[in-house]
Amino acid sequence: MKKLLLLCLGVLLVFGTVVFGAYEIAFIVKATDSDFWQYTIVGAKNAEHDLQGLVKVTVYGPPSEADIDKQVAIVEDVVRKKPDAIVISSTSSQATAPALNKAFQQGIKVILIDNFVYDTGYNSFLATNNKVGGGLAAEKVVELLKKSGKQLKGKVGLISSMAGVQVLIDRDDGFVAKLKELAPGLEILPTRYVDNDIAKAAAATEDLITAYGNDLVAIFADNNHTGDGVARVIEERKLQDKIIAVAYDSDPQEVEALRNGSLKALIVQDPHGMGYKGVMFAFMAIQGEPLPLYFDTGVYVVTKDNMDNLKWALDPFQRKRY
Amino acid sequence: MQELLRVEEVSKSFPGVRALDQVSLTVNGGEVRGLVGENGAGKSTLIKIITGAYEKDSGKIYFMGKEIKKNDPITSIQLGIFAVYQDVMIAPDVSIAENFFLGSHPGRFGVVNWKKMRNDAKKFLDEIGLNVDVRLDIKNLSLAQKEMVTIAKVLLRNPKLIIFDEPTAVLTDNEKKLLFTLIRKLKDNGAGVIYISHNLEEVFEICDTVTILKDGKLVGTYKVQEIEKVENLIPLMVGRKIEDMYFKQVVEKGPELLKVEELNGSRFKDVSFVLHSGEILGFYGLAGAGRTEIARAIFGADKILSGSIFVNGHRVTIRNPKDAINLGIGYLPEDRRLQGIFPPQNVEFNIDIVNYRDLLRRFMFFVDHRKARHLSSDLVEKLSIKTPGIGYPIYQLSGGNQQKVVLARWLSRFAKILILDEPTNGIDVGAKAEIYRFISEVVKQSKSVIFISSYLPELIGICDRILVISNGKIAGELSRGEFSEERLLALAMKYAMKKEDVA
Amino acid sequence: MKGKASSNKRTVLGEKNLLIIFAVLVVLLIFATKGTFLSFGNITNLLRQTSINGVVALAMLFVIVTGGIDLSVGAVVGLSGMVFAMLTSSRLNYQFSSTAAVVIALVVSVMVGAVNGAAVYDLKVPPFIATLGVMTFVRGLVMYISSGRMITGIPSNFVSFSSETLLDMPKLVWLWLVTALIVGLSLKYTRFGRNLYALGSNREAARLSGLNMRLNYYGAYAVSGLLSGLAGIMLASRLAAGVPTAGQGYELDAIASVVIGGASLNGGVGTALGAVIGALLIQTLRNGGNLLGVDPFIMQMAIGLIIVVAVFFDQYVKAGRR
Repeated sequence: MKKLLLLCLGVLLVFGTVVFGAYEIAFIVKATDSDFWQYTIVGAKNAEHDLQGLVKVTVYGPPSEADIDKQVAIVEDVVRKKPDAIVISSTSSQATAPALNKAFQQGIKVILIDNFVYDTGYNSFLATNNKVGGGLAAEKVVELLKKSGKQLKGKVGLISSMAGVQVLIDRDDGFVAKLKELAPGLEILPTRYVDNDIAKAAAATEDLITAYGNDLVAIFADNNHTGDGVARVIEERKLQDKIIAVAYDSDPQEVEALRNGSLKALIVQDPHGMGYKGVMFAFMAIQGEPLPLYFDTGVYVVTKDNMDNLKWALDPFQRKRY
Repeated sequence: MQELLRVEEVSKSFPGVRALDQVSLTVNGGEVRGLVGENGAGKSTLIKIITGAYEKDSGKIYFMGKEIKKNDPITSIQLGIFAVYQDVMIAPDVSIAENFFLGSHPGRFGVVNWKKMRNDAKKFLDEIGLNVDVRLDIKNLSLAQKEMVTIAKVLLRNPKLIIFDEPTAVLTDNEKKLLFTLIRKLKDNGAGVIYISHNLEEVFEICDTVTILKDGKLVGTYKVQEIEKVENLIPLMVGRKIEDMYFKQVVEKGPELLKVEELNGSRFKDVSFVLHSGEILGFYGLAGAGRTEIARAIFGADKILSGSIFVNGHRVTIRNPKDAINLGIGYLPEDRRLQGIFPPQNVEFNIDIVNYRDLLRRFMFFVDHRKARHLSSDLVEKLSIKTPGIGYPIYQLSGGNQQKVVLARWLSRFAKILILDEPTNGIDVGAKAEIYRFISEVVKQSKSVIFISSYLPELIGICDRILVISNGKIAGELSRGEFSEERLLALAMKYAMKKEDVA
Repeated sequence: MKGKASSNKRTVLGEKNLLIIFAVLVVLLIFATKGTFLSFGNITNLLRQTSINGVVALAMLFVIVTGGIDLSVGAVVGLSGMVFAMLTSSRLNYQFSSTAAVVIALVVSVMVGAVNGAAVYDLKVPPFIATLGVMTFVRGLVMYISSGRMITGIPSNFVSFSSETLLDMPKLVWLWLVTALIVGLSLKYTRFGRNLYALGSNREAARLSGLNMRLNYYGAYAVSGLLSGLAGIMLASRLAAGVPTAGQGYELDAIASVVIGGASLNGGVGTALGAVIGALLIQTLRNGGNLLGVDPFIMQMAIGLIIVVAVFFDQYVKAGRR
């Protein structure tokens, strides 16, 4: 099957490059400053590699996720260049809509990844269902508590990277809802927001430990930087057996923490897949193939036991083919 | 004449100083009242209490028959009391017209009517005799012109009592005449004027009556005719006769310390002179003649275009003040507030800052604080600077004491050539006398002084030679035997342009 | 002599106001947390949480005293940490010793400071703009050299430094306090320090007093760079990695600390002790909020209020004495 696909692609490649030249695909990320978006870029570039010259992927992105206006400006510039398709993870669910809609009207294919954008036409939306991911984290916490023979009582801390970001809100909501359902006896403490700063996440973790001591049985950190901060404190104080910490995303430090037990599980999305499929979907859209409007790229629960099998999910850089 | 302002037994203390002690005075409408006294006598404090900038400790103030119980700057302005200060407050990067209407822009619904604003400003400034393009940024005006704009602004608001604090310090003679015309106009309209100045001749010229303060206490209020002449006023202020003011000792002329040859700068040409140790060399000239620029060039503060400078007979290159100081040259700048003092710092800091090179411990890293404190407290004592202590912030001292602090900086051992630029500007008679005394002390220690001033009596009083500068060139040099006001003035006008008020 | 007494009284009074606010806050927290706040563990926590921001505040102090501002401190924190991590990481090929890497990171930081000095003094760009530009440049540089990725694998003895203690006090705290002491002594008792105050009080008068202007401007910004670099290395040790976004927003905390500590943005005023207490005050609020489980948004509002109230109270008391 795969061989057949490759063969078809090969034919298309020769044909395409001779007749049309490569399709221009603009790949716009939320930010260039984090591993997650770098992983999506690896995916996108791998797709470009696999399509062997049929498409040309150009990567754009503002320096930080907070730069909504900068991303809007980038989208406007890109639309002006009239690429064949735009693959975008939009920082805002609204702000980029006018520019994207204009592109869509002009016949440019629009593929949304990670974050939905309202009021624009689009060809497909690929994302992780973050509520499901948050729920999986809660399931893991309860499972591990039961496994360690503890009662489902005590306090659970929630450390969030930033307030007002939709994907984080979904993760936190999913976590809280599932935890309440599975273990009503656990008390969820007020969320701590830490400006996506590892040192602040560590400080917040220390303060939770100081304030609640042995009552604190679990912590959920909703992205990689918060996960790093939590893990750092647990490792330092050797609380691996006392506090069950589960975090979202993966970066080298989180992986290390998973190995040494400071974090018990990582909820990992498939950023590589998001980038890879985003570009593939864009190519298919250009070819006029029908696409699903929504595609769940899925989440994986990685623990110490299965981490060696899921290496590709933990560090997509290893999958670099170009 | 109707009573306008009555101050009854007002007192005010600051930590360590009793600034005002039961002072009473009455000012009538249509009266111009001089307010004189040494620096630190309490004039500024009294004015600040009248305008509501300070709160009084005790006593009462009545304005137009009613007591002002709680005063603040806004209340006093609403009552019609305005003050024009020495340090003119303006927004430098804003046009003249706008400065003129600052706070009360004409126009509706918060939209500025620029045309009306410009026309009105132009009309009003023309009336008081200031012909300028009101669209220019105000920073393009001379200090004097800025002051005129400020005064015009006050006149616009229909004042009942106007207080002038050293208004003529930066004015040329023509501008001064203009100001006096304005004051007389105000007086005819029935407004009261309080006029503060260290220039006693002016007080005699413009004031009807004069109130004298000394050490925070009222000495008395006199009619100007009763006092007759300046010489009679000074003893009331300082308890000292005028003959003692200019202290001149004969000091033997030593070797040549400084020689300047064919020095050219952007504002002066071909300046040459020599200075010997033990000598006080005066620099005289009209405002803007280039005296300050020559001094600044020698000190390395401004660029030199060509020419050479010799110190102790060696040719030297002075690129910046640091070089000059290393060669033993000190400079007391013209504008104490902008160029002299370090406002947030204390007296000790302000004296020691140029002397730290002498105050380092071994290894040249840490400052020897005991030594530093000694140096400054010795100088405070020697110059009888009135301060509650060397740890006191300098901006809380009176102008004369601030000036003495800046002077004290240069009196340590290293400054051999001291350039003093208008050192007595805006300070009181007593402090002036002390500064003259110091200058003669300095030259006795085989040092030398260049004394820059626009005030002829003091130049004539203490200098050994006077160099007269006119429009950037040396117009002549007189030795002590040849001094006379007429001669000096004539030389100063030698190359002067017709329009002398272009400062 | 009279002068000496009044000199001491004045300098202490500036910080006394601040100490009053601080004491009130601490007492409130002791009661509100039923003593948890005062526990030895929490105090060392608090001090350690403050230490890095505390060093950045000291860096900022040097420049604020000259009447300038250094917005690049946070970016330099990130750069220095990243340079260190990249030079030592076992995952990259440089493999410098920790000591060599620290020296290089500090030299790089000083160089950034010197660039600030050059922009401010030689190019006469206003400090706010000059350092804003340098901040943006350095942030970009950090992203560029790290490809926006976290760099792990730094020597473990270096990582453990941040959790080690000396006389029961974290080494990071000692580092901060010793730095503060050195900064305090140099500002008060060296010619360089005195010159900086002169520069900030009246630039023209300072020039006419024969100060070497270039040396002092360069010096102030270079020291600011040096201390920011030091903070960056401390943070790298704390985070066990070079994080591209590390130090983001630290410049604002630093400005707040220094100003709460009694410094004037007009220059010429400010002390090391003030900067130490100012930094401590901000972190105490965060720590107290975490211990009490205060709503994080309300806590942020409270910190904002405290900044204004502290400065107001200080000025009010000073004005009252006039």
